[in-house]
Amino acid sequence: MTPIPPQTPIELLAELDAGALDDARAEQLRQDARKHPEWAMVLSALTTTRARLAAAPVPQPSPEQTARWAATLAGLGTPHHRGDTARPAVGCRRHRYGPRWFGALGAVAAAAALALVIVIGGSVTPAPVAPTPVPAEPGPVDTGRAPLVLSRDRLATDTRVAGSGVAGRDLGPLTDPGRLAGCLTEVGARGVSPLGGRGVLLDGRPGVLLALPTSVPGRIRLLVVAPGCAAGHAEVLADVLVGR
Amino acid sequence: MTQAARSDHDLLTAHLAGDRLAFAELMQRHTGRLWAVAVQTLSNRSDAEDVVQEAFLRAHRAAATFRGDASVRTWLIRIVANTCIDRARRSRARPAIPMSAALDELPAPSDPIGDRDLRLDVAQALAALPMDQRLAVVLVDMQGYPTAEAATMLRVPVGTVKSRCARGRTRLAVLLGDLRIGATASAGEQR
Repeated sequence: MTPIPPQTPIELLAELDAGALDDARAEQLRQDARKHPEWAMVLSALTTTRARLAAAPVPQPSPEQTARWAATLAGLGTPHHRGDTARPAVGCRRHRYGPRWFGALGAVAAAAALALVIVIGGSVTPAPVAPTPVPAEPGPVDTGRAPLVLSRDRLATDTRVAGSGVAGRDLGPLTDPGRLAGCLTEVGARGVSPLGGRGVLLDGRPGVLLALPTSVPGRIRLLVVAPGCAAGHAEVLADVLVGR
Repeated sequence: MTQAARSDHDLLTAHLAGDRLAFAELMQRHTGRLWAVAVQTLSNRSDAEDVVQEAFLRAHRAAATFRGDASVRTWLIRIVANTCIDRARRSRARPAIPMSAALDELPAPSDPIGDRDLRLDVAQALAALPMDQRLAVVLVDMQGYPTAEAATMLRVPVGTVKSRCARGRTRLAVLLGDLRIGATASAGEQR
């Protein structure tokens, strides 16, 4: 990666990227960016970073913690029951909220958690024992080294896919530099260094997702090729541009 | 017989009217969102677990003061954000990664893929941001809330959220290895 000269107006470009500038100033800056490749590099870097952030997974809370949350909620009353509101059934995991929090851990927590499930869920099934946090929005199925399961539609619209591609570094059958170079040449990206990549299942078909930089500020090319992609043989499963 | 799901506002109203189950149902509905904001903001799951629990209690205590000028979701995440800020203040004994040290550790990559292992991961990089920038980035970039809603959650103008995101993203871009600034000059100075 070529270093950005220190005199580059990075803060201003970041404000442009964030939509913090007025329209006239933003348009002028976009025009200027076309004349300065290093400015375009800054905008592309910010796009990459945003994609990476969007793709960052949310770790799941432990079952023990979700049980504690459920127990706490089960112990809370209504505003008309001052005793309940001031004294939840169980307290915090640590000694941080005063002595009244420590009267009823253990069995009471488990019982309260179970009671909550029964009451809220309308079921006597003992598991799961607590509310299970779920992501706010549905996302691509990311299982680490396993192929990323996604659809063609999502490829262009879900920024988390771009982020996962950028963050990925397991190119599977394209790990070999010679084979990767041959494949990229076949798909019209000769000499391009991928920002990242990973295995995917695109609409059920195995492939390799490659996140490629482009000459346009803030834009990334997401290319999905068949695993057998090499010099003289390339099958493009998807090819989309994302970003600005 | 099926019963239409009650809205967030209905549940809060029912809670205030004495429905003993309504508050738990409301919190259960939003636990995933609250947890996501807490754990990504604090980069520490233990603290995040406590923050969610404390947010439940704060929301319970403050339910009667909910004015309805924002959605219940926005109100709850505002509570989590404030609780994260309070928690971070109490945890100052645990220092964030100094920016200079993080920059010193960054490689001068020649291979964008092969060098990625040496860079900070997202959680480490976020921990290096000031809390105001971190919250803005988490809400807008990681959780996908519209800038205007994030501004309401944080009780700041929209422009402030955008500026915080801009500054935060710039630092993150460097820490994550997406952006190298004047590395040639730095290398020369170290010689």
